[in-house]
Amino acid sequence: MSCREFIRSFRRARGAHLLAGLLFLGAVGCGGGGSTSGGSQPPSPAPTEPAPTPSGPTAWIWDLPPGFPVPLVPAENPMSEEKFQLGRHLFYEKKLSVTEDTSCSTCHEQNRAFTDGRPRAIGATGEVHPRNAQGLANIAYAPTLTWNNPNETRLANQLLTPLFGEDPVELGLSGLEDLLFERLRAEALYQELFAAAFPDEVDPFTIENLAFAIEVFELALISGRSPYDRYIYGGDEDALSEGAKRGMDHFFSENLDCTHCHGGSNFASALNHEGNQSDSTPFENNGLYNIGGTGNYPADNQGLYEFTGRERDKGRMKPPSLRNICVTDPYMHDGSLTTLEEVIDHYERGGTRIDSGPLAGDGRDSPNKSDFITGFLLSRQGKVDVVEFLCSLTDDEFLANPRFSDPFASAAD
Amino acid sequence: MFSIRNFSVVFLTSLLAACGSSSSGPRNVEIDVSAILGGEPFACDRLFDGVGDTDATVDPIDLRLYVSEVELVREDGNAVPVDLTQDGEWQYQNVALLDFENGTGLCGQRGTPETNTTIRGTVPDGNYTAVRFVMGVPETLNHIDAATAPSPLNKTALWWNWNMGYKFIRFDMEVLDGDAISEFRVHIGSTMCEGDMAGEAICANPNRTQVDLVEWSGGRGSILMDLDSIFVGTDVQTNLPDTPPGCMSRPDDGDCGPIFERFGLPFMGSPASEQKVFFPN
Repeated sequence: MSCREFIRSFRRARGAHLLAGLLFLGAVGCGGGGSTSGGSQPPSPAPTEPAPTPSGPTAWIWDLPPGFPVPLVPAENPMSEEKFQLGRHLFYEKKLSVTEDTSCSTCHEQNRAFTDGRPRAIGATGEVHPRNAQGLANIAYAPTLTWNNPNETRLANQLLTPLFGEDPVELGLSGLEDLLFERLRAEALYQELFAAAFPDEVDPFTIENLAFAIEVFELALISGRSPYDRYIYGGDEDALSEGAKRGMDHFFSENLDCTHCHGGSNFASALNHEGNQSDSTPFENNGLYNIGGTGNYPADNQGLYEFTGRERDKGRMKPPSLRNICVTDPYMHDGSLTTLEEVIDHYERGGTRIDSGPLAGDGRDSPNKSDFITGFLLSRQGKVDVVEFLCSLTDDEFLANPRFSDPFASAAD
Repeated sequence: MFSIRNFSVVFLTSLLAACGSSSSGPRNVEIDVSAILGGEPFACDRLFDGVGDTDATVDPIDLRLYVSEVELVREDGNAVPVDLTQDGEWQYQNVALLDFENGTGLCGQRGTPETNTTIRGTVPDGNYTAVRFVMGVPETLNHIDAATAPSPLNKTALWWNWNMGYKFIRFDMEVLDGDAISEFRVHIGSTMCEGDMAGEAICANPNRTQVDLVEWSGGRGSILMDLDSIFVGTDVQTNLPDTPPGCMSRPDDGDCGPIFERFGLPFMGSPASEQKVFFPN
């Protein structure tokens, strides 16, 4: 059966054998490559129950939504509750910036599914990033992490860029690692948290440990309890409105072809989990720009091309997961589309046309555009329904979960 | 910094190199590098004039670079690797970090008080007349996991994680232009790398500068890094729009053209050439 037929059939299966279904998706390549790659850490064994430890960190318990597979965890950084709590504090810690007023959460706000509502992110010293801050929900399942870098496959590595990068300055700590740890060591809270997370180390205040703790926090950000999930995995026929159900049919149709890039349980291009490590690095050009008909994107944002130098890679970006998409506006790698309606118009047309100015050109005619973006016909009602369906992917429980919230915010209860 | 013990070794080494007398076993070698800017010795916390094609006034922010694969060349043309002293700080395997900034003035932004301008190691006894080295981190070390890397590969100011490697040189300065202040940075490293972080990679642009200095006589201050030479053909007071300030090795940044050429590196279709930054002193 085709990919799409399979997805329709498991929609109706209402939760039965979904883990097997997801593994099948991986095998037929709907969710990405079926082969294991040698490029990353081997997966840790699936815990069937918490392993008892004589002393040291508390064993981790995944509280996974129905139908969700266990994420791949790097063998050198097993999950623990103590690492999670340290990572959570560091994620919201403003001392992790040169100005002491910016943290990871500044660009990754929980109630926006860990985005920031801006077209392009702005760093601690006011520099504007070329790209839009991506959401972190289900980042554990993503084979690649950033918009255009095929080498960024490991969370603990990727976070070093916002911490220490200078083009642009994000958190701005380049050259200031000693100062950073001076600040953290001075806090009794971090003396406690670092020691608890890394009990076997005489001095746990290292960049690697900081990175590992934040990685554990990010891996734990699992989102899968939206109305859509209740409908599909929970068997709740009323979880989706009639409009959302119609929108879902449109979304999964061959007419719209969304699922080629936004498919599977995470509405993304590929999925890593314990049963499958994808070796695909999916980056697609969706026809957003075509400057002067050359196939170029704006000079500071040419996508995958910046790493491969291949002409056909110009404009190729990672299709992100569409979960929580209703709250992660604005859209595209540079936030240039403001509403979901604009996004659908873009895909309906088969590319965006810019009439004048230095970026003028018709993305629909780009020589580098993905073959899957062919445009489609959709009624006005159809568009309303698709937006309603996309908003049914919003997981309110995740957006408000106290476990992922700012531990430094004044307590409301 | 400076120690009597090292001075006497350097002195002896210079004598040995000059006279060609022989002794048995490996001998110590120290290769000093000095840097000039605006025609004067590089230092933090002061201004320099006459920099670049417009004779601009600049205030240094940083000057650090990695050198590797250091070799001495015998009279007969045979090159012998210098076995770098593993000091747990400036030198690791076959790479050394030279650090000219001392954390004063603008160098306090992300610099350190410590400096290191000498490459230290041993070579088999012999008569050497030339020195060779590479400005850059060797391929075998350029993609290791930075977070756990030993010194000198653990300096976050020299990390270049998004490009899967290290900055081989970091030479930053503030440029004064009337009342306007801008920054000009020279960051060179390997670009267009594909692979995975903390693992293997293939970089389309290795960007390592090969330095071959014949008529090198050893001894103190024996290599000169002419920072002014980097800016022949460059106006440090301007920067192409939509590009990083100065040259940060972006393959499509025109500001890198003249600078890469001075380092002997290929860029934008121009082929590799001989470097023109390092000289025997």
